[in-house]
Amino acid sequence: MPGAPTRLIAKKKWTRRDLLKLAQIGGVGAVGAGLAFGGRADAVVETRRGVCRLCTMHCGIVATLKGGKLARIDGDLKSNTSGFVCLNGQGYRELLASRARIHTPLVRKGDHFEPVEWEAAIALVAERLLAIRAKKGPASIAFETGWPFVRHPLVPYIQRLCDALGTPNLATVASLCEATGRMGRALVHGSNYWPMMQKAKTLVIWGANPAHAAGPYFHQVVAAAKSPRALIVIDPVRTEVAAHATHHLMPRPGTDGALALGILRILIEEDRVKIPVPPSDLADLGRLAAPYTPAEVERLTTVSAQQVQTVARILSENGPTAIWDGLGVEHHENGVQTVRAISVIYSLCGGLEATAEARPGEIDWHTPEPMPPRPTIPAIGAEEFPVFHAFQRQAQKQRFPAAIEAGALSALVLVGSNALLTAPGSARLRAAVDQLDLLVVVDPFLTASAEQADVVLPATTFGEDAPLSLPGGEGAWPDDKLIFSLARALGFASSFPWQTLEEAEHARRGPRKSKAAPLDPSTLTIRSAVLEKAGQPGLPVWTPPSDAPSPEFPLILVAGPRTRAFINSQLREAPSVRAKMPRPLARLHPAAATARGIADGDPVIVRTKVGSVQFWAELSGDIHPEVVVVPHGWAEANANALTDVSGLDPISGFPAFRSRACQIARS
Amino acid sequence: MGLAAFGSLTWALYPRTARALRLRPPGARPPGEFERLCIRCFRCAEVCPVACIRFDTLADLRDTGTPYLLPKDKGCTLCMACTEACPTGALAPTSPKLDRVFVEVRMGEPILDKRRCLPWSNQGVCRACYYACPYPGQAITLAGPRQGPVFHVESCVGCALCSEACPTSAKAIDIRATREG
Repeated sequence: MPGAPTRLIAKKKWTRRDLLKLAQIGGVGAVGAGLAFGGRADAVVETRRGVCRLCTMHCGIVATLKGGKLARIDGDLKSNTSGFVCLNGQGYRELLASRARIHTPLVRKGDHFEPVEWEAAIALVAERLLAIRAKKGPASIAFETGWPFVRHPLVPYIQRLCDALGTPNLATVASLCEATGRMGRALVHGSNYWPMMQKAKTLVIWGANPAHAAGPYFHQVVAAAKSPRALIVIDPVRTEVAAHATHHLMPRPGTDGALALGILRILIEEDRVKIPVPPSDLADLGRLAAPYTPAEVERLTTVSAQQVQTVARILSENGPTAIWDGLGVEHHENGVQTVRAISVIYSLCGGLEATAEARPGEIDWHTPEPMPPRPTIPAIGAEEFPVFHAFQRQAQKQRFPAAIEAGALSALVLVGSNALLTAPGSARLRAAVDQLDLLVVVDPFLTASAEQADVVLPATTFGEDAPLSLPGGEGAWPDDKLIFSLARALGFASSFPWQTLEEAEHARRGPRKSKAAPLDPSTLTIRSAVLEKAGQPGLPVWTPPSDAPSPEFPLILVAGPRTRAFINSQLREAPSVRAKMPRPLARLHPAAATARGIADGDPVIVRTKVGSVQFWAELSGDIHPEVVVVPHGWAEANANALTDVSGLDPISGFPAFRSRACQIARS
Repeated sequence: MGLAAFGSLTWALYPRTARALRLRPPGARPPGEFERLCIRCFRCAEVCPVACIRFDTLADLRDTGTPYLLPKDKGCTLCMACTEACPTGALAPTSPKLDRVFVEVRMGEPILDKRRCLPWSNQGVCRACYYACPYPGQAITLAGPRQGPVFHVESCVGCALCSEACPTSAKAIDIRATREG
């Protein structure tokens, strides 16, 4: 087809005038044909393979570029995620091209930001950090990484930077994600582990939603539901995975530990324990579990006595059993002890030995020698949460607001973390950051946290870095360049002589250790000396959430379960993802709604003792009648205006996102 | 008179050739009536936010300059802006509310080639069509060991978002225009 008319169409929006113009030069047919191709000029097509880093699934992706621009993303069939890409991965294209991207570092001047050159911005941050260190000591500086950095090889280098600065205060998402689970499991079995679903005849999914949280593996879960296998889902919401279950138990949020003890009681009293256990341990556990009769469990959890008995029997008779527990169990005040109780069930019913595979609990912190020495000053939260600190060797960031208020924390660098939206107790944190001498935010977008920063450093998104090297993020720097430049500006050039992470890793010699010792069933620990030494109960006790329902707040708020659209506060800039969830919804049971005169779609106010937020109601029989479910990560409907840092798990410091007393009313 | 009269004249003069119906934008009047009403003004394409509307070649004069969609390339996001922009009602104004669209819009029917579909042909796992579908659980449900799509024609509006989302290695979904329009 002729070149000129095609290029015309490719460049501008088609109008009727163009047809008439071209008709005069006899180009109608060509124009029509050009339009039939949607106006795409001839372009070079190229594919590049990489990994999506929007969440921790790390799906293999294939990016198709046309004319050097990203045209589409498909799953990589050759990767271990078998070609899967979710809605958010598809929406990544829109993040790349978004006009909301920041293109230069920004420095606050009064109530607005001014663009600044990179070298000047890095120098400014370094100068201010050094001044704060000189005046208030190194521990007054903290670095916090967010979701894009989970199991990211750069994190050990951020730790290295903190070590060089002399601050022990590096915090990661471990402060509120997965660490309770890892610790709980490791406290019982000496190591973190994961269930191998394909080896199980009975699969229990407890407080987890693989359809949303483990998309590429969801089909394996569904396969586990086929008879003679049993799929038991324990969740106060009838999720997509619960819809496939052979048994669905819906406990009140925060009562899973009571349910677990009820099951343990049956296993012990009905002589269903499949493995040898020291008699004294079994006696201790039996005494702990004795009050949790089926009738009592029903009273505490709303799960029927019948279901408790049925499930206990299936676990021990239809083995081997595998148990997958998730954040639904961890985001409570009693999270660690609940995970422990579940872990003991996994062992006692004989499933662990048959189906669990050890997983490393910690990341490999090694960076090239010589590594700067670790500071000996205790990290924030280390004294209050010694077991957390022993496992994670990081700060517990739920105590950052208190540290700021006490004058112990004066500078905070948020690297890919939108803490002002995603940390519990937004109002208090927001007020606290006003007291900071320095807030630096590293992010591709001007998030709610960035809006409060003194300095914003625009980072690239994962796809702009190698190996995908997609065009986008003009003016942004990759995280490794940013961190290493900051380290050099702080005077640590000898510790940070590399330009890229790849160079640094090459200097480290050898792959990152990720092996775990094989699980040894004889290490089953029912009474934990480690916990008792830390002043906590050694047995897996259950304590009810301290923010208990009351006449003023009769319902239970579950804040922030994973949704199909969005990943934490990410992807709001992607229209295709927004189209799937255009408004933040408060989901509740029709009975709870009718009693309050709330109809589907009504604007509603959800209130807790901390604050109130407006959502739109969605009525669903899938929700436990005493529960209200709201999403997190919405700047315009911030669920963390409803939460705070009271009632933290005393062992891990995790916030109780999923068991707050609340009320809901038409607004 | 102008193009509209010209269009209706050609409609009368040209013999009907047996060929597949074009997938029209939403709100389109039934075949025959649509081509008579459409004045080939291109406004529908001008307002389309995702550029999914394209125009026919001279191959059949009856269809020249009329809008259509290519499902495997770009689906319709059901914004209904084209139905508002159409000056003659060839695309009847339609509310963009998803529950109204569900009832009023039937652009076409989904056709799945299971041999090409990644989960059904055991090549991989996917669910891209399910995630793209504006009516997941109604127009598309998932089944089988790899959670492959099952299409429910009676609940499908024919928007072709599934077809667009289907990975390039598969392109297993097509939308066949129905006589309803």
